[in-house]
Amino acid sequence: MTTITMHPSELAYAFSYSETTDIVGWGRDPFLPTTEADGDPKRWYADGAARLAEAGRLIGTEEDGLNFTDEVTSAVLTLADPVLVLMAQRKEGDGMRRFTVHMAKETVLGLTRHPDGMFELTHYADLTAATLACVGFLGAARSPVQAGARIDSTQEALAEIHQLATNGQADVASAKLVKLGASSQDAASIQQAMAAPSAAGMLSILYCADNVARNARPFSVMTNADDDTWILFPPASLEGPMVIEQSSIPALTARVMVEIAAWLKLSA
Amino acid sequence: MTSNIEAIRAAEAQIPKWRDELRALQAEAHGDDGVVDAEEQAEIDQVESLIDTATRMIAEKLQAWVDNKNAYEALRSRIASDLSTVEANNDEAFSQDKRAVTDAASSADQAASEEDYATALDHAQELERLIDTFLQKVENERLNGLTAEELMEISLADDALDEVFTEEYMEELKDMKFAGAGTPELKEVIKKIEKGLSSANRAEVLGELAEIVGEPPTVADLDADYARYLILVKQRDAIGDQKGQAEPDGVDEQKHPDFVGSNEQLMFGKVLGDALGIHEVFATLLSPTGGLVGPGNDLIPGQLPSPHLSPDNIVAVHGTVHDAAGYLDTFHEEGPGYNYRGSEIEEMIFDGFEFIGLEIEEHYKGQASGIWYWGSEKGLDGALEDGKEMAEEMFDDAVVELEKALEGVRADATEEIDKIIAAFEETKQEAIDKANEIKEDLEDRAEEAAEDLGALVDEIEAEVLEARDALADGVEKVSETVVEKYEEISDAVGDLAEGVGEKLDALANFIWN
Repeated sequence: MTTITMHPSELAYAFSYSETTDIVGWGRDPFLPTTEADGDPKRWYADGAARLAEAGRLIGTEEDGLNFTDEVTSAVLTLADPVLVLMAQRKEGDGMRRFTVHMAKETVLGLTRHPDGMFELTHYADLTAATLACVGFLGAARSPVQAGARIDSTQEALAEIHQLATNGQADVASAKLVKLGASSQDAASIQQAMAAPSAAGMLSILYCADNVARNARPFSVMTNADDDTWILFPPASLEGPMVIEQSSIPALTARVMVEIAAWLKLSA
Repeated sequence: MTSNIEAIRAAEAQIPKWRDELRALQAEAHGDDGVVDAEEQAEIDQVESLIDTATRMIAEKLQAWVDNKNAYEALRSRIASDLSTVEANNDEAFSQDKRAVTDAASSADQAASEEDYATALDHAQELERLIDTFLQKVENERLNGLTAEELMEISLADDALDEVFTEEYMEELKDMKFAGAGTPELKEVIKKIEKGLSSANRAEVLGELAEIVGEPPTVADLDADYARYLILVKQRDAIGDQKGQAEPDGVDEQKHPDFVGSNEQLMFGKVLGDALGIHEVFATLLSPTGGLVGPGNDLIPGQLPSPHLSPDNIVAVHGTVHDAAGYLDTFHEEGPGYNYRGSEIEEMIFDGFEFIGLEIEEHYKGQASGIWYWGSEKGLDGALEDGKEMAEEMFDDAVVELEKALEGVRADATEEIDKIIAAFEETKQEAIDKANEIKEDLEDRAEEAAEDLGALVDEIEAEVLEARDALADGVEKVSETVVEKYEEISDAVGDLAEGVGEKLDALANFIWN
């Protein structure tokens, strides 16, 4: 696992050579100038080129031709044309923190942004490690080892329960969960995870082609104060069932890995 | 001599005679006293060497003849059907081209009857090219008769289209150099073609082009490609108009005086040309700024210096191919579209499963075939509108069934992942300790074996540490990342296909609402 930090102008400059502006999981804005002082895009790119050269990431001479280092080349190609992106979005008040993992060929690359605007790029050895990083980022619980209780319902029913739980109608929400088949203990745990999570967010598997997310497998991930993690997801389309299941770091990591493997088999 | 089998056979027949002569020479050298002196031995060696050389050369020539024969016969077999099509065409407008084809066929047949397969192969290759050109001309004639509306409905893509968007193709493209690239002569010819060729100057300009880019292509090939290019322009404009897309921009020569006819532009033309079956020079004219990638191209020379990326850098090549894919999709509605390249990561995913000791292939049988049928081969989009809803429901049902069927796999995977990140550490530690023990034991006896075991210990440690470090890294990232304003998730995540944003929003509602 190795990490480098890059200025957004460095990335913007490099992306432009791959004819890419939007990065899956981020769009384009984070790589564009954010302040008046950053000036027009031409200066932004020139600044990016200068920073890359200074950091030894853009090598060679103008006369003989310039090249990105292998490290930057593989990072740019992975970000610009991934086959798979894991997008972890963690709730922080009304806002969110973002962490994405991009895969292409043999590269598994994590991307986050610091408060100063710098991007952190982390190379992971494999997808298992990167998935664990995403699940850890979302604050999932360490246990139970195996996935726990599971309720198959619908989007409408669970949305209503969520609404009740977050509007202070804990008892009504729990009662509805019990009616769907949850034990009273699990119902209380789910209700707490919905109403007052200690950590919450989304983990989305985005299957990509031509730098477009073609299909998504999103999971809402909620952990309550008792360190119970519940995930909520539609196994098929939104018109199909919606499932809520007790999960954990190993269980969610396994679910993601198996889901990706299944997708690959079905898409091969 | 390569193809003159009679000469080869005659030479081959000489070898036994030469060997007889050698034996006679050896017998003579032995003479009465049975001793071969140095002078006699040198003579024998020289003759032996000559016989060996001749034998080897004959074998090589014979092999070349056989190779040519096989290649010729395979080629003739491949073009037989197209040749029949040409022979059956009695359109007077193509009589001259037909005559060229039949002449080439006769020449090939004549050479083959004389067993001169090198010459026969040359003629057959020329014949193949002439047939291709003939068929393209006939097809161009047919396409010329179509209205713009009719052209919009048909595909003008070449069979090679799918090969254009592969990693292998990009790797080859990276190092490609084009004849005439960067020369003022090529630029001048391109400018002439861009203005449009008339019957008065068409042959002359295409002759100039053939001279610059080398033959093949011949003038006749380029003429057929030019005709196809004009049809492609018609299709481009019709589809562009329908979509409200402006015609692709021309090159701003003030800003980019060296771009027209450059290797970068021709690289783009090659991608497009291979996809549409025309020469790269004509393909560049379909979208003249294609291949002009990177921010450096937006800067005004002399005002703000900015380095240009080496055009053979794979990032720039990716940009060029990306340009071509965009153009093809927009103006010709061609291209790989939903080009899911899962194979790139499949190996890595399944290596991961192998590492944690899981075999999941079996679990896909049964359900997978049903899902594949509804989701892919039949195609939801292709289903009749009335049956679409039912098909979608069946697809959903099948996916849900598969999701449940994989519960066992998930349980196994969960257990193994948990072992990796915690409990398994002890087991791993035992393995490490054991390996260390054996290593120490063996150190005195076999340094090499110890090194292997040392590597094994490192590998085990690395696997465990990587997973654990990654998890810790993810947790640490929480405090290091910026808190961003949450708006619509779908607005913040780049390009999404239809339905993807809706799905993300639905799940986000459980977190942010």
